[in-house]
Amino acid sequence: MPSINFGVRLVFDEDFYESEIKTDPKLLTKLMYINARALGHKRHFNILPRKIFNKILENNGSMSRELLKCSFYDFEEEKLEEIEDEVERIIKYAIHIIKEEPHKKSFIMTSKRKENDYLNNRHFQNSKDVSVKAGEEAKEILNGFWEDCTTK
Amino acid sequence: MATIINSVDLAKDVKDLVIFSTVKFNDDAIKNKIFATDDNNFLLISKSIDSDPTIIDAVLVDDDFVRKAVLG
Repeated sequence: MPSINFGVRLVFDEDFYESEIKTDPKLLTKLMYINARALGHKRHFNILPRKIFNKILENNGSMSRELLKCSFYDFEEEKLEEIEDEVERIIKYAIHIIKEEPHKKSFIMTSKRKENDYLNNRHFQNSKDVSVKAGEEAKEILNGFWEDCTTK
Repeated sequence: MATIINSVDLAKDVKDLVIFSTVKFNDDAIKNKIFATDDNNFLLISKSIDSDPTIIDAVLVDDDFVRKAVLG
């Protein structure tokens, strides 16, 4: 199975899990495939900052660490994890990961409800290589990546 | 007491692990199950990692498995 260059890197927030994945659990399976096939970042492609990763496990007793870890990389960058504000923390993770080849852009994947929190944040406004994808738009991107996994 | 680790992996990667390492099995039925699984499916593998690494269970991770994990 060849690796696929998806062209961007993805960072997820808690709202994406609670709003989008819980209403469409098959998304988690699609994320497993995307994470397994990503060029240069096998199993490390879909970023879920560790504090959020652990919070999802705490709040969802039926979800196992190994299943969540197959879909997301529980990335921990010590200085970023110290940021209390979740929106700022997610934006800084999205900026941080575009330093890694081969991806030079990143998408913050969130819910429609949370979208403006990112767009109006001054840290986001200073970064031209990070975009916010929310709700249906975020799901369409994942469905496109998943199609690539099933056809390439 | 044995140390058990669980992971969810593509069946292709699990097969490669079996072929290219000295991992053992609790039961030949588990080995047969792994090799009968389509390469593109995911398996939940339970492995004892004491002196002789041994695969003690393999469960297919299908849509129903994921749905139950997400929705409880």
